[in-house]
Amino acid sequence: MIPLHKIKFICLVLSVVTIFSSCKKFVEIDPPRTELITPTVFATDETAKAAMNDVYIQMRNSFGFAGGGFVGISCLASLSADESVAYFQGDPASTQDYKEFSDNSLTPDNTWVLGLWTDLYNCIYKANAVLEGLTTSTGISAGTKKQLTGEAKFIRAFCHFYLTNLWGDVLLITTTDYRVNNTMPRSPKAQVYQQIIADLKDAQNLLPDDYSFSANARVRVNKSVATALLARAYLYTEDWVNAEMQASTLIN
Amino acid sequence: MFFYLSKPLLIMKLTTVIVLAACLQVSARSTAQISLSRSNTPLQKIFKELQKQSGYDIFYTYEIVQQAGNISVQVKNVSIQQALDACLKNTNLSYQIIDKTVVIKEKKAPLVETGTALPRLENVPPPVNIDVAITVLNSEGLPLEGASVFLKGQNKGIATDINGRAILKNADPNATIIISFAGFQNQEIKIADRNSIIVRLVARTNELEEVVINKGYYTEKQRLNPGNISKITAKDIEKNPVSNPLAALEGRVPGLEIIQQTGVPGGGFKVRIRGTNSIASGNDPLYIVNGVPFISTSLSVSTGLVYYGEAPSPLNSVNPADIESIEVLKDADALAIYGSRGANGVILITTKQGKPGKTKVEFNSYTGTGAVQNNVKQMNLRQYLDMRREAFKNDNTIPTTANAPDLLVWDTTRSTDWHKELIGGKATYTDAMITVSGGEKNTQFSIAGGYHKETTVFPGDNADKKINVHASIANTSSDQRFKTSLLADFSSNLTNLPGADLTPYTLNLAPNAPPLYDSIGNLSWKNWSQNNENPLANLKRPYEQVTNTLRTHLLTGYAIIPGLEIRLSAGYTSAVMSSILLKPIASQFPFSGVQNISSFGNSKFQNWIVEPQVNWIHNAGKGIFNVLIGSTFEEQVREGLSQTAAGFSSEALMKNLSAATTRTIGTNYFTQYRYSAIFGKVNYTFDQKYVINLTGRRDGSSRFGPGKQFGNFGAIGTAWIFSREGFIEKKMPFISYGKLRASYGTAGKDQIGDYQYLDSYSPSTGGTYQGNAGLTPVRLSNPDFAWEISKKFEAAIELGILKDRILFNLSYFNNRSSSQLIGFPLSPATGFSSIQANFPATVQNTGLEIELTTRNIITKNFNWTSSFNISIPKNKLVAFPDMEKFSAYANTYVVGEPLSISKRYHFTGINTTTGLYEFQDVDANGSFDFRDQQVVRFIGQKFYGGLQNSFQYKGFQLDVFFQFVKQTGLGPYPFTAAGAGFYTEPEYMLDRWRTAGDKATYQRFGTSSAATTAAARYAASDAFITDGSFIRLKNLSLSWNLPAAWLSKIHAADAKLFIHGQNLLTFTNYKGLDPEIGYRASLPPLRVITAGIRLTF
Repeated sequence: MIPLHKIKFICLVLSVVTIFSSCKKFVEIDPPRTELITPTVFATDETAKAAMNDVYIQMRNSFGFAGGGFVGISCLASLSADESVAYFQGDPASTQDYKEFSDNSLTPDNTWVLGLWTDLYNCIYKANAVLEGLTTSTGISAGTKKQLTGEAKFIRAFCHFYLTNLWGDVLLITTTDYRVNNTMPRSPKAQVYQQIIADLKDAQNLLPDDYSFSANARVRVNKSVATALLARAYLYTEDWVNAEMQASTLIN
Repeated sequence: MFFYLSKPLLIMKLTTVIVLAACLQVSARSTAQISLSRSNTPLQKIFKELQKQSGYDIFYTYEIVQQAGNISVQVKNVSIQQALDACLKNTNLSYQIIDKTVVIKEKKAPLVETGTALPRLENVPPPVNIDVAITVLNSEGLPLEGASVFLKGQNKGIATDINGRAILKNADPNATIIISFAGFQNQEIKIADRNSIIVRLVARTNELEEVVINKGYYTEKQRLNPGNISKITAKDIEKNPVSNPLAALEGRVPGLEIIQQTGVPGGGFKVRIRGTNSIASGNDPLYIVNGVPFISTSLSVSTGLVYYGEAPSPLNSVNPADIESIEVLKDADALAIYGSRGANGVILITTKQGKPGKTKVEFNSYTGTGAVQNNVKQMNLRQYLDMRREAFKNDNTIPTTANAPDLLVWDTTRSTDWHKELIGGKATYTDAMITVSGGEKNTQFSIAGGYHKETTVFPGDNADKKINVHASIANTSSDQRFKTSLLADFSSNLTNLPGADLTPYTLNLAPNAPPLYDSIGNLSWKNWSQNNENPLANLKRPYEQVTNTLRTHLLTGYAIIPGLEIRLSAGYTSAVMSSILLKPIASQFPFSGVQNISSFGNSKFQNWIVEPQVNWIHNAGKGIFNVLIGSTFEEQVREGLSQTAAGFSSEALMKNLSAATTRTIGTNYFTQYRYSAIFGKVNYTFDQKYVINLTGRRDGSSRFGPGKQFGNFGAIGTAWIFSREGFIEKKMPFISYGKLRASYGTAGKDQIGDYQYLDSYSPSTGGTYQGNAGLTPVRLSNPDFAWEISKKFEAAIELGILKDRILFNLSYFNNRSSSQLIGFPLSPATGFSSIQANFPATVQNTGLEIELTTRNIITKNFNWTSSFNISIPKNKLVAFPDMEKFSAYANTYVVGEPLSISKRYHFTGINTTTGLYEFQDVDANGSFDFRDQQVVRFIGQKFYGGLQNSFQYKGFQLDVFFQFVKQTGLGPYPFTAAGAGFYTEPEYMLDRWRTAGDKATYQRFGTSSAATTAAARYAASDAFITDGSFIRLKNLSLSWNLPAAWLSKIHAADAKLFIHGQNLLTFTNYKGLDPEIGYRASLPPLRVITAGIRLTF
């Protein structure tokens, strides 16, 4: 016969084992209340719109490429074009990067060059994330889905347009998968334009004519904006016929 | 066969009797008249009667009296001797009378039966081997279990049982036995023909023998411990007049590198156990206070400039005076049971508990002052003005009021000693603590309350105040099976500091910088500017920080059967911090647009932990099995919110958020961390000589994604106490203690942020878009990363020589951390710069640690002991595949070199014609950038340690502790070109180039960009790496215990007067303010001298 204390011991071990089996569930935690997991973001119209708003927020941010700040494309390009002059005051090291623009002597280490590149691709990532979120989403109304897809495609085209105009052959990014993007080679300029034009055509089809979506405030892209950029894209690719056609549509 | 002593109560007396009997053969004469008339009665009963009639005590063992069986006796009015003769006539028993005591024993049997008897001299009857019962007690008369009993000259021994008893069978009655037990002096005793012997062991004076160390989930005797754990006790901690326990550990623990980051009260410490294991951040050890994990990073959400960028230490809430001991766990054997959190080592803090005895009231108080130890000799006014003029002349520039207000606007005859003015004050220290403790055998308690106040060396009314309350209660049921203890401590810390550390100003401000106050005593702004602010503006920007910490821990245990105990350990910790930094208009340079700005910070930490455990101890012959199984459930929640508010209409309302017109959220976070584990250990100790310890843990952490949450960690530790081997005892008796030990195992690290695996969005930080809020992707999610693994190996020898008067420990360790959790750098095309991942890089830490403790002089009145420790660490990045692809890493690290290297320009000297610093242009392209920074230099500690000498003369005790560090450091100066701005420079900068052909240490004074560029490169060159080694008289403590005669007059049990000094002297070649602070312009650790008294009633 097994002595009593051994039985007690076995019981204990068993109870301990039972406790352990619940460990796994214990460490599965809810997302923090300060964040929303991606599927939740694209579950409602409101949150999906907010995700798109973030792209505009970034673009108009004074540190963004389109923000009109000192590190934006307007300022830097105007330095290169001698429309502006880099005026030095204080520590020369901190103005060195501007001087490279105005002297047309850009080095690969220039902070603002990297800043433009990074900011543009960051916007592309966000636009792609919205596109992917909308594709898999089921809870968003058809109208919002159409509108946001159009806006995201426009933004993606807009960013690629500036990228290819600044650097020529650039990375063509159409997914959020970092494994793909991290090793992405440069695509020829023509191929980038192909994608830009395709995105803009989609945007044209998806976006409304008016500003009803933004309560008549001219703060979000609509069909006309897409058409304008499309005309420009055709113009830059020397597709005169289409360029004229799109431009005419807009003017008329 | 078992022996029973029929009257356990008489054991004490018996001892005396037996000892006497061995030496004396006394025949007692008695006049007592005894009458007995019994037939066929047990001898025991007859003895009882005899005892009653004669008044003699009769000692016998139950065993032999039983053997004698029943007897018949008939005597009348006889003496005790006659009565005994009659009783024992037909038995195998004899007796002896000593005073009024009779001892019954077996008659010596005639030599025949056994052939084992040795040949004897004729006429001397050779003794017959006997069985001897030995009872081993400590000085308090309590039985000692596990003591070894063996015959002198034989290796084989036996261990005593739970009652402290062991039976030595078939022993030569003339032999000598040796009894040994850890923590006690060995005792030799002659059997001298006795059947039972009681031995009282005397505790060894050497403390290390008795040291029981805490390994977190279990304790172990230091002598049998196969792991590496350093223990610091209250005795050493209390000598340090510090408010953070970490400050008391500096230099005292081998393998523990502690660097104080600032002398501002409440400031942080850099703590590393056996080096830096991880490339990314998260190299802090795990702190466990009374069994409950505590935060290792600061609670602060907004440190600002107050601590000069170094967050306040989380351990400020632990009152050093409450601490009983601190254990530092360093090797795999000790750490594997902490699994995924043990890779960086563990610091266990145990607070004081009540001890059985009379209720004791202890009052301890000290007061003292602190000051900055050292001053960097700056240029005087004359030298400074000459430097500036020379700089302008060298660069052919004309001083203007814009670039040279110091020469043209400021009073050039007026000079201020900024060091004295800004950090030359005296900090005062006040500390008082009262403890009531006591209890009896089953219940003990301790209640303590403490107050600590520390002011600063800055001008103005700033202070760090702390109140600590600590209570503990412990109970054991009367059958000793059920144990409960509860510990609780609460600390409230209020810190008032100026808005920024004033130290940087002392290193910068020109000697003739404008006056601080105007003629009517208000803060002056005249001639100051926005970029060159009146330093005292910081005094008008008060920083107030309140931290409340509550820690509780409950431990219960129940012994189901002897040896099998179930335990439950549970704890709850809560820490809340709130801080406000005010920046009123009055503190800002009068300039249009300035407004009242307040920064608010609130953070909260909560932690609960439940750990059920089962412990089983089993004696199997000479071996002891000790098995522990347990599990952990733990949750930590951290919350934080920082806000900046502006536009208050009144300075008086600046602490009221609702009075602000604009509010900006800096950060708002909530993180939850859950952790669960199964852990266990199997320890087998054989004959107090061989130890094997297996520990393991399987744990899961919510910081990892689904499927990656669980990891396994384990270690094996072995120890061989070779000094217990017969051949050592015989051949090398001078070795009183010797142990060889080794351990190998794994531990992990999960010190990364929470939710890193999660694909999520958070509110946009860049404001709104046309009033519409945004949601921004937080990170690139990688669900596949897991633990960082650290494989740890250690081998060590521990030696005690000449009755442990010399103790020597030597440990070697080799730790390798791989699967490094780093932000894997990504192409910007991915949208992010990095992703959390396990990178196959390996970091190795190896090192030697030596400890030597000697008791140099031990006499009745004078004792002198020394202890020395040194750690020689070596850190190396062993592997980092494809490093050249990741510029962020390639510019910082080199495979084969330590992590803490710096890649620098090579300084080639001063150009004899331009007088400027020159550097090697590695790629010879005329420009200087990171490609030219190719000199790899190590920055860090090469070795470190401490030397303590303790002298005791009668009631006086003097402790002198030196800390030493051999290190390379940066700097200290110059950061900028001397003379370029209206900033002062150290006097040694006068050794500069002046004219062509000059050989000087520093370049010419200059204001041009050529001069500033050269100076900036100098600071990034190998010339800027200097020797930062130092030897510091870290602690000096002198105490005097009042003589007993005086104590009785004041009705005190104990009274002590003491003087403590911290950071008294520093010997260094380093030119900066302090070698520990290095090139950072932060307030150095202060020199503190305090005096106090401790009274115990």
